[in-house]
Amino acid sequence: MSIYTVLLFGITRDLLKEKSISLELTEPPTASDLLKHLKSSYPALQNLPSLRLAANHQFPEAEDLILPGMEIALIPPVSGG
Amino acid sequence: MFSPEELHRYSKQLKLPEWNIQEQSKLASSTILVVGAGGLACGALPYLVSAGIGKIILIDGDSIDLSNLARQVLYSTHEVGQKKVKIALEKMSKLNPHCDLEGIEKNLTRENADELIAAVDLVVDCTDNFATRYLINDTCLRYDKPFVYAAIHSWEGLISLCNGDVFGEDRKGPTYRCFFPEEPGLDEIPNCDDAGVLGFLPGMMGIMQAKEAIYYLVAWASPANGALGRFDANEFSMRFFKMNRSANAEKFGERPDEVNWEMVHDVDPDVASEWLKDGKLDYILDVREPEEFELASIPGAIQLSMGEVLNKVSLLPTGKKGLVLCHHGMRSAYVIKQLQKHFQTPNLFNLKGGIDAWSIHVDENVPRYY
Repeated sequence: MSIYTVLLFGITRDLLKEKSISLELTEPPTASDLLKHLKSSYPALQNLPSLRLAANHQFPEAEDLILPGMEIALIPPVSGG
Repeated sequence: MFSPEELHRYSKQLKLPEWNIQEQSKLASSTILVVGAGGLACGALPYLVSAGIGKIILIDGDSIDLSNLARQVLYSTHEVGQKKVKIALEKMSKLNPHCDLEGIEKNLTRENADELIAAVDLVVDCTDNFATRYLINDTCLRYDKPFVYAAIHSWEGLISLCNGDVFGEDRKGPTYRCFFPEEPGLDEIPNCDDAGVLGFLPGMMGIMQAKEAIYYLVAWASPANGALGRFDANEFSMRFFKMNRSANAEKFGERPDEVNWEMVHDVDPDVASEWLKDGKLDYILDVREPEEFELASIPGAIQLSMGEVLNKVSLLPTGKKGLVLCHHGMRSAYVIKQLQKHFQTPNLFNLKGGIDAWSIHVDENVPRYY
């Protein structure tokens, strides 16, 4: 089991009322699977189709593996000005 | 050539070993468009004007509201009610008479975006809404123009130099759609009015936009060029997230007039039923009258009768795939044409044969009526 910590940005921080969340996974997930997993574990995220996942200061491709120890962040678009 | 007055005016920046007459001249020969005259622009504009950019066009149709003053610091209490563009230009022209300033007291729309953006070297996106941001993105793509995006949420801001040459890396940078491909729905992301903000944040992000615009105009590299930057006011931190340009980035620059907004896409009831089962439909809009809707309807459909739908467009999720229906498919085809023509609503499909065909081909439990 590996622990993944996910930083929350923008509205995700307001929705989950946390700055980061942690989850335990047996196998390294792909970027798209990790995002799906997060959305099913935290239903409040399901209404955010535009939400992006970043890992190690990059936006990964959907099939890229996310490895333990990477800095993961959830980034929604923001619009205020 | 710069006059002695200009050389004196810009003498402190010309003192920097990296900033020479060549850089100053590049700014002086540049024209930029600043879209929006709100919180971001109040940060960006003074530094763009004072640095020596040759021409700045400012576009915004808004008037000053008292609730703007806590963050839109170019405006004063006695100017509430006046046009933002008018007041901003009055103040900026006093700041630097060498900057050629032009104001447009309108919003950027599909009607004027092409002409304005095609004529400038760079666009600074100081808007407060997604619709205009995506319009800026797609128009900049069409004319191969870079733009500086910034936006804020509560205690954080995002910034990126989009659609530019990434200096030193020999690549074209991502567009805003590479980060966020589809325009978010109306209820997905709150704006400043809903989320709240302290004035320094849009001010800081606006100044960062001025910095990015200046760097780009003199062809200097920056971490925000080719990546999305996130500033966190609480942590006082800045992170950058690199992004490659999507292979299909260019398709969003296609001319809108190539889209035939008169065309209605029909879909057979059995195909629509498959879409519904597979979760490929985001919403169903039923344009019949309430009493017809009560007789027979598809579960989950939004009921807005033909007469009211054009006044309630904001209730429809933007950019999402929608099925539109009526009794036999005539009223819905009319509504689709109207929505496409007046609101450029994409992804609308007309249920062929209407609810009547649905009863026959898909769900016999939906009663037929005459």
